[in-house]
Amino acid sequence: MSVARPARSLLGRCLSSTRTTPAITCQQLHTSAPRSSRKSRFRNVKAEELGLLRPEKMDKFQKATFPEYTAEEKETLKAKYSPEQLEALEAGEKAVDPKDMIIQGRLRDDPYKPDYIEDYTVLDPRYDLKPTLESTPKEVHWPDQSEWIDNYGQKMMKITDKKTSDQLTRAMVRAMRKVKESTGQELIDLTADELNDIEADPELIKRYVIEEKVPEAEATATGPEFMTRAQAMELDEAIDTEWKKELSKIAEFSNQGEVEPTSLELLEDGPAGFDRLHSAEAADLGKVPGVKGLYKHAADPEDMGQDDAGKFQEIKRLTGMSLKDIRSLLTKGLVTRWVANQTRLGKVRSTSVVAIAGNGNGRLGLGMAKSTEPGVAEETAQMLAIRNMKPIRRYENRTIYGDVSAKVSGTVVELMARPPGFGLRCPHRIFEMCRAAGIHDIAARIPRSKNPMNSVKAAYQALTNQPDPEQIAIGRGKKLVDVRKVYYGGAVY
Amino acid sequence: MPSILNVANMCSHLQNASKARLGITSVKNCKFNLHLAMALHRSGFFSSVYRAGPNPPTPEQMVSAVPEVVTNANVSTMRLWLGLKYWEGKPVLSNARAISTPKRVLTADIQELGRLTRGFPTKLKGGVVPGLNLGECMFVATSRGVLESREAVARKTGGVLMCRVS
Repeated sequence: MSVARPARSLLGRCLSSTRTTPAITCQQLHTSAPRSSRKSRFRNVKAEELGLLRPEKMDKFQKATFPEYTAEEKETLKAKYSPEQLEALEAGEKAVDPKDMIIQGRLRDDPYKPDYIEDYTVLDPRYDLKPTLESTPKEVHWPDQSEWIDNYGQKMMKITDKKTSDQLTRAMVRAMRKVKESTGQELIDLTADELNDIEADPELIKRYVIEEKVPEAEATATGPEFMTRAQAMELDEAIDTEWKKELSKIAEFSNQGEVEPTSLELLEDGPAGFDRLHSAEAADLGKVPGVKGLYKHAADPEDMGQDDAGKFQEIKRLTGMSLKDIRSLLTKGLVTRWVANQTRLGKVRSTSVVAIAGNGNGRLGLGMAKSTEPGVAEETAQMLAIRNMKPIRRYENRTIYGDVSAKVSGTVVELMARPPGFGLRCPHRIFEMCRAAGIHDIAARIPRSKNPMNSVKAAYQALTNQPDPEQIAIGRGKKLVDVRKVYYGGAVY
Repeated sequence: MPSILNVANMCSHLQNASKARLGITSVKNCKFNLHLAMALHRSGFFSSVYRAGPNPPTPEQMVSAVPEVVTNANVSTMRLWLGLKYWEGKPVLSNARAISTPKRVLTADIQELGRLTRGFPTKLKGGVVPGLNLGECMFVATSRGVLESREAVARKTGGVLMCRVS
């Protein structure tokens, strides 16, 4: 035991009970300087210390912010509200103690504070609940095209007419206001507010002008301010010039948006009309016209009644060939396999067919299809083969270019070019393929596996991957000559 | 005397290089390789043949610069640099197979070479050799150097069948 022990550690055990911090110091997990204690960096100033809770101060604040209604104010309120409403207002005022308002209430100064100077004619989504609208689903009317176009055209015309007249009315109102401001005479009956209203909503002109015309006539007859003829002429002229100015302004800076129909007006024209505006539930669809006439599986008149079932419609569309051409193609199923899909319900047996299609003149296609119905599989495979037809390179339109071989899995097919008149001395599936493709002289060998499907696939691969002498010549930069052609002086194909 | 095995090595190396779509490759610098490379170049399989040190030359160098003089000091570092060709995404030289091996050297006289060139399989002293296919070339080492089989037939010389290339 070491004698040189600091006194603190000797006394540490006795002192440890008095220590507030734990004996094991917490390891610092960051590099910033530790703060001595958790204390706010700002001194709290209470309302009491500021003297805000003193009664005279509170009274002053109450008078400034929540004053009682004066007698005059009450009079004006009486003029505006019915007695029941007034009673409700007073009860509301009484229900809330202004002292509570001062201490607990908080005057909102946020941007979303309600603006109470309003007449509640407009819904504000910030604090108004959306009213549940009773929309009436109605039977949808499906007009035919000409009827729809007529209706639409009329509607658009009406809207445009109305918008144009509104625009003109607005221009007139502006002209009148200008005349009124410039002359300063009370020759125009309408006040500035009324003019503003009319400009905002040109519909009001009916109310302001036409209704007041009749009493005006009486007034002019008896009234003291009788307008002289000269005055009237002058006024007319002034308004006329201003009106012309406004019109030219419209013509110059014409805002097309002002005359064009709005999206709401267009929506109104939709199948559900305005109901769409409010109701998430669309109106009953009614009787949908159906798909009559939209699907064309009926016989094509070009086919001369050869394809009434429409079996060849799709293939005609895809290949662009006529039915006669398609019918003249040589199609044949070469390989048929009986396959089964093992499910938990048992084996689902189906037939898999590999078919070829060729035009006998240098085009050959391979198609493979599977179906539980053998007939369907065969037919589908043939159609696919027609779709997949590809050009096959033929030397002198009778044999292939050189010897080619292709390998699919364990099956290797070797095809050899042969001289004219040699014939098709090859396995029967390759024979069929050559016949369909229009090859007349060929020898073939399947040295390894003779799997039917793979041998057909390999033969197709070999036929489509023949070397091209032109490309070889270009690649090597050499001239390649067909000696046969030279020997016979070009008297071959 | 260089072994004909070098040709077999060169053939397989060329196949590998063209499968990897290399633009330039090098083979061992020896007499057979050089002559075969020149013959292949004549037949249009290579864009350029150049003898240089271990560092690959630039394509411009291969075409224009005079090759380094081979001396006793640098002969061991010399390589034959071959420019490979491609057309429409496919290598011009895709198959190269040696015919003769050191153990089984196949020679063909003029008649046999003629038959082979016309595409008929021919029985030679060492075995049956299949005839040339469309676009195939056979290279023959003759007393007039390494020639393409058609050249050899034209010059009426037979010789050792080296390799077939397509």
